[in-house]
Amino acid sequence: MLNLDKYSYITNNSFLDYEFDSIGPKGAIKKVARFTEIGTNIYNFGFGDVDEKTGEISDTVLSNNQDGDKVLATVANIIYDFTNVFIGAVVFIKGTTAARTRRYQMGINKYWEQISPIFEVFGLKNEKWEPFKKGENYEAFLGRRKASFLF
Amino acid sequence: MNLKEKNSKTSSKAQKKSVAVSDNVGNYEKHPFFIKKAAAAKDLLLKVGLPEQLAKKVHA
Repeated sequence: MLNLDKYSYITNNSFLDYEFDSIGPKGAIKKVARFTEIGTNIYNFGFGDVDEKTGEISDTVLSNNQDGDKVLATVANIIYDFTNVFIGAVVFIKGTTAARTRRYQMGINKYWEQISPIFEVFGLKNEKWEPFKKGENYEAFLGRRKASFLF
Repeated sequence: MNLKEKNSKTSSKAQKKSVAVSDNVGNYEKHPFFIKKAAAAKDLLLKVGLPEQLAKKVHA
């Protein structure tokens, strides 16, 4: 999906956990994504950097590996692959901080012409969901594959 | 579910996408980071609900 420069990633038999390495001036930083079911076929998307010494995961640390767009493209592809396996799954995305949420929003904005044919996307604004519009500021996102684009 | 069925489901899932499956990928189901984020997400969805177009059930 998206035909963008992205990292290769791996998953386990559950198809709920995904790992890849971000490579840049800061070296190799292990990234992990996890889909956690929070409702009937509704999953929270969690994503962060792994401290391989302690096992701690953080999405507030600034890894600054100068590959933000590549990481976003990788995340988009992970979500695409996940929704190929979990048919009809709704994915909830919200950063731990407003800045992180904004980063996701910037990614959706940037690749919207490629995303919108494939996914229904909703943004949360003032505690109400609305269909995603470019240029609007949202607090969280929900996405689901459009029926016509189910694998 | 017996092993044969599980393998069948796994290979079926793997065939659905080209993503590589590896035993080296951790199971983060019980990792505090993801538990905390999921709990926050669930709380928010219970508060604001879902768009009508996606109406499903959020686990209480």
